[in-house]
Amino acid sequence: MNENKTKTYRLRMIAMLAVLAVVAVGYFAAGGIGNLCGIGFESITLLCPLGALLAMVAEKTAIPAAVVSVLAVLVICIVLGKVFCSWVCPVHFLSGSKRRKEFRACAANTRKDGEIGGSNAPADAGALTEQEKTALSGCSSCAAPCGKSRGVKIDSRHGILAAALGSTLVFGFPVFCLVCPVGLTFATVLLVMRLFAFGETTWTIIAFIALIAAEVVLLPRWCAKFCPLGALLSLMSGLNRTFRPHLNAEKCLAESRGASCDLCVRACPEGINLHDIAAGETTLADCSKCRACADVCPERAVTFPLLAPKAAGERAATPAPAELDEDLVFAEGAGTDR
Amino acid sequence: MAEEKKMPGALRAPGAGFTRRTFTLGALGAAGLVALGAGAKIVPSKTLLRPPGGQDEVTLWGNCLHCEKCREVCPKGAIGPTHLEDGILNMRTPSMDFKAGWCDFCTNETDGPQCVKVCPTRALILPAGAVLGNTETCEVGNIVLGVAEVNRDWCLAQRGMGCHECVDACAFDALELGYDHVPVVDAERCNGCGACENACISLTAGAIAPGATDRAIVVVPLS
Repeated sequence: MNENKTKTYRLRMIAMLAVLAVVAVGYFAAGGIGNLCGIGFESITLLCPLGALLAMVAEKTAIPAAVVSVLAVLVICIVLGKVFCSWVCPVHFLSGSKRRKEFRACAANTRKDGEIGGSNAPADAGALTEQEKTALSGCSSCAAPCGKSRGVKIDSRHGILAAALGSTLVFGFPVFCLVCPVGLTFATVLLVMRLFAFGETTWTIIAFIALIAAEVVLLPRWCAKFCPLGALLSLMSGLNRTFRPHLNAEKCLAESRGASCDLCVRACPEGINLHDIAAGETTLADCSKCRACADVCPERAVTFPLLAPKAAGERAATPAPAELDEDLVFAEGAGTDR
Repeated sequence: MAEEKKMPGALRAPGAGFTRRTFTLGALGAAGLVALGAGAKIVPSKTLLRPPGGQDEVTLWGNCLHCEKCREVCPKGAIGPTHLEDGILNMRTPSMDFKAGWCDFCTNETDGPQCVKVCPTRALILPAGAVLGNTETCEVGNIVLGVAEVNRDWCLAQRGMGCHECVDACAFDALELGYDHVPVVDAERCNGCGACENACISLTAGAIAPGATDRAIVVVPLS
């Protein structure tokens, strides 16, 4: 299981490094590959959806390549969700390492608990399941109703997204792009390459590295609390119904035997609570398909099926049409209002 | 602006979904972005030499997403990255690096300047009625990147060394040797292509004038 866990992590790391390598080679080749702010060949370019929106807001005109890029990313989000975050974005790995360490420590403890719960379960299975059922019928972690289980949960990232659009409208240039850690990472790669290739020295390298470090290390959880690109992708992924994590209630220790296992909840870098989505920081719209939950589950109860089985019922169900529409309107509003 | 937008968010997700901490972080981040935008506008930024089509700096600042494609495709390698030292707004935007190459306006490319062609956001865009310099026909064009300036103190010709590298390099007949054999720039015919700066040898070993910090002929932005 441990091997499996590192396997997806490694796979993701390889995917991210591959993109980084392609961009780095492209920097010194004449192919015009670009970087994640705009990547592609020749005149075909997939722009960063946030950058594309900001550029159009700044100029107050529709830029063909930008409109196409936003739509293309929307399609990607509908099919694959927020995959960019955990499979391509280098910042996710930078900010994830800290969290991974602390998680590993508690994972060891909880795993023990889980096993004990599992072995004890058959003796008093009936009682525990009853308890568990009553506990799970409401919200397990708090008495008050705590947010929705479907659609997109609006949080600080979305506020910053709105501010990014607003400040761009006011000042006439993409303000957020100046401090975007993703863009700065690629800029730093370029500057370091030029430092070694041409001996080009500049304070900018140190400034960029300091800025990335400040955002990723000093700020509490950049990806979960600040990243407006993640916010935009989560809004777009509100329509995603495929490859969503599905918890098999029969296999899950917590759901079937009442063990106090929340390994998948702790493993999730996006703050999703698979046991009770309403209790989590975010909903499934924020799932970046990193498979951390699937890899950490001792019972392999978490899967990423193409479409969630109908029997899953209320846990991974499709949202009510009304709520879906509301999300659509909001996503469009964020895109075109400004 | 940001606060307005946040309110519906706060109403939409009540309870644990939207805590005071979340609101504080969002508000701080939003305020930070607004401050950054204002700060970047207030801090003066240098006027830089831009690739063809990038002469309107407001459009360039507004549209450039820093994808680096123009820099990569330049056949002459004349576009370089811009650093923090040139101003916050200019950071990561393209600017001409005539030490590395010069701009022939892609005379030999069938579809015009490659940097303009690849720019996905039209940050580099030729204005209507643009006539590009043509190194074959010596046509100067009306896209002017800057203008060359000779520093006579650093120029080798001034020291009687008979250098005329820049005059030979100029494809637009904008340079000629003056009465004392020091090159003189014809500002009417100079479109700032940078061939002269690229050719100048005044900073190479054995040719350095005392106190020289740059080449003896450099292209400067139009004031």
